[in-house]
Amino acid sequence: MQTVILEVAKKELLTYVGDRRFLILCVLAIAITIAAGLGSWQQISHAHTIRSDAERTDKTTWLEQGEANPHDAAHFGRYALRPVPPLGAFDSGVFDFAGATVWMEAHFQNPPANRAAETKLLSYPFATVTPAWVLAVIVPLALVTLLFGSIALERETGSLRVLVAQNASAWQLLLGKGVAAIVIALLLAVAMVAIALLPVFGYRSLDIEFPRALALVAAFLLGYSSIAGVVLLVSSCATSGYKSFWTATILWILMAFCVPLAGAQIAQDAHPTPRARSFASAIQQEAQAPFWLGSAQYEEVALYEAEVLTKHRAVDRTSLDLNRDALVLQAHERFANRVYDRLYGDLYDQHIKQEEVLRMASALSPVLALQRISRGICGTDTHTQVLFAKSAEEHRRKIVEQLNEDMMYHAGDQSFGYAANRSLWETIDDFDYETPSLSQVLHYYRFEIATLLAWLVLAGSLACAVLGRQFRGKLE
Amino acid sequence: MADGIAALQAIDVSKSFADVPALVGISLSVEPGEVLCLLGPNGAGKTTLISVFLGFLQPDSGSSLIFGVDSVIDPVEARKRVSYVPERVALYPQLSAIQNVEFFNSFGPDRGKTGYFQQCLLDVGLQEHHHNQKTKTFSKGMSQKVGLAIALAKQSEVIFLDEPLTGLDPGAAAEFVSRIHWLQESGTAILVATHDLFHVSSMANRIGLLRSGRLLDLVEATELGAYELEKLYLERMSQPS
Repeated sequence: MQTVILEVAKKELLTYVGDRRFLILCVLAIAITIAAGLGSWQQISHAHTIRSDAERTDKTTWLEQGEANPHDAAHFGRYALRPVPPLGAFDSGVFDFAGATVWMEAHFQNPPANRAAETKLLSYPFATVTPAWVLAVIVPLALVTLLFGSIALERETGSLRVLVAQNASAWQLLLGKGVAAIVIALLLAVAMVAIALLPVFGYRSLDIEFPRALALVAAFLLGYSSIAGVVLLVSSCATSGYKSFWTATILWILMAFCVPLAGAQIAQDAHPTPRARSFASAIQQEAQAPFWLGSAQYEEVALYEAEVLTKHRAVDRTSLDLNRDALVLQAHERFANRVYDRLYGDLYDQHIKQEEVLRMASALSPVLALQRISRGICGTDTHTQVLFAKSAEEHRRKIVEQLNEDMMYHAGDQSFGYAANRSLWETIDDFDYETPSLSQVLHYYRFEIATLLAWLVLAGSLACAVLGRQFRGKLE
Repeated sequence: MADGIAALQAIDVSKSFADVPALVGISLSVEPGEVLCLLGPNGAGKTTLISVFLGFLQPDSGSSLIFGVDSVIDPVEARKRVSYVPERVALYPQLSAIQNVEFFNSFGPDRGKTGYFQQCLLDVGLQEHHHNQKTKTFSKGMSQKVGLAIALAKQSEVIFLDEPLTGLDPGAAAEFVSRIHWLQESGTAILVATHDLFHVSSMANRIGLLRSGRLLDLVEATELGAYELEKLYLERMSQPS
C-alpha cells in the first residue's frame, strides 16, 4: 500500500517538475523567501549586536557610577533587555511592535520601550515580510495551485475514471497527492529554517536551538498537511477544476487574511486595552499621588515598619537604627507595587483575553494556527513578550528593595547624605531572563496544535469519504 | 465460457438522469473471447452502460455482473478483472509512455518490471523509440495505443473500449482493430461502444443497436454485411421512439 502511495507521489512530483510554470513559481517562491530570510537575518544579527553592546554599556555604567546614595542609584536604574531569539530571523512575530527594553527604576513600573518597528519605517510595508510569513501565508497559496486540480482536473480529463477502473482507492490517491505537495512545501520550510539558524552559530550553541528548529519544521509539516487536506477536500467535491480553484483560493483568502484580521479586530473590540496616555495617567493618580500627597503613606509606613521590626524581633526602629526615609521609600514601593499589580494585571488580563479570542479564531484558520505556533516556537509571541515584561518588573522590585534596604540599615541618620559604592553595585544581579522552553511553548499552544490535527483528520476523512462514495457509483 | 460464467452480464439494467431515461431494461452478456460492439448515436446510452458495469454509476434497477460479481455490490472485486480505455485517453503529459503505463498499473498486484510494460507497449504497436517520450507530444492514435497498453498490462479478462476509433486516421484505426482481434484471440472479452459503422463489422462478433437507452437489436456480425448493417442502423434510428 505504501508503494502505491509513493508511486502516486512520484507521479505528481514528476508532473510538477516537468511543468515549466511550476518551476518558475518555485524559483520565485525561493527568491522571495531567501530575500525575506536574508533581510530578517541581517536585522536579527544587528539586533543581537545592539543588545550585546547595550548590555555591556548598562553594566559598565552601573558599576562605574561612583559613590552614590542607594536610592539615587535606584532612580538611576538599570535596563532589562529582551533576549534576541535566534529564530527571530525566521519569525519576528510581535517583537517588531513590542518594546525590547524596560527601564527598571525606583517607584515606577515602566512598560517595555524601543520597538524595532520604529527603526523600520523606511522598509515599510515590507518590514513584516519574514520567511515565516512567506511560508505560512504564501506557501499555502502554492499548495492551492498545486492541489486544486488533483481530483477535479483528473475528473475533468477522464483520467480519474481510468484510475478507478484500475482499482485505485480514494485514500491512496489523496494521500499520494498530498504527500507530493507537502514534500515541496516542506523543502522550502526546511531551507528557510536552516537559513534562519545560520546566525545562531555566531553566538549560541546550535544544540539549544536545534530542537526548536525541528519543532518548527514539524509544525509546518502539520500545518501544510491540514491545508493540503482542505484543498483536497475541495478538489474532491468540486464538479470542475475552475470551481475547485476559486473555492480553494477564496478559502485561502479567508484563512490567511480575513479570519486573522477579523479575529484581531474582535479581540480588540471585545477586550480593549487602555491608551498609553490614559494608562500612564492612571498610574500617576493611583500609584504616586495618594501616597505622596494623600494619607496612604502613614498606614503603609506603619505596616511596613511593623513587619521589619517583627522580622528582627525588635521593639522599635531606634533599636535597629533604621533610616526612616528609606523605610518610607520602600513602603511606597510596596504601595505602588500593589497598584501596578492591579493596573498591569488588568492590562495583561486583557492581553490574555485577546489571545484567547485569537486562539478561538485559529480554530477557523489553519494558517492563523500555524502562525501562532511558529511565533511561539521562535519565542516572538505575545505570551513571551508578557513574560519578559513581568520578569523585568520582578527584577526591578528586587533591585529597588535591595538598594532601599541598604540605605535603611546603613544610612543611620544621614538619609540622602549616605553614599554607597561599587561593592554594593556589584551585589545587584544582572537581569537574566530565558524565553519559555520548547515544552512550555508546545503546552501553551496545544489548542492550536490540536486545531491543526483536527483540520487534517476532518478534511482528510471527509475527502476520503466523498471520493470513496464517488468511486462507488457516484462518478459523474 | 470460463467456469460457465459470462464475462459480462447485464440483467434488466435501467438508469435515468433527472427523469430522462438513459438505459431502459438492458439485458445482454459477453462471453470470454468475444467482442460485442454497442452501436448507436450520441446519447444512446453506450457510455452509461459501460459506467454501470465499471461501478461508476449505480443503476436504478437491474444488475451488472462481471464474472458473476455484481459491480454495484462489490465494485472493487468486480474491477479486478476489467480494464477501461475511454474515448479520450487522458495520459499525464509530463510522463513518458512507459511511465504512464507503469503508473496506471501501480494499483493492482505487482507486475512491476519495466520490461513487461515495454512489451505491452510493443504489443499494442507503439514503436520502442516512443516509449520514453513524454506523451504531451503524442498524437491521438499514439495516446490510444498507450491507453490500450495500460489495459493490456493489467492482464484483465474484460476490456471496455469507449469510442476507441474516434479521431483516428484510417491507418491507425485499422491497426487498432487488428490489436483488438489479437486481444480477443487471447480470450479477452471486449465491450466496445462506438458509432463507427465503418469498422464495426470487422471488429465485432456481435453488434447491439442502442437508441435512447433501449437495446433494439442484438445481431451476429457475420449475419450482416456492411451494407445490410448500415441499412438496419439507419432504419432503426429513423423509427419514431
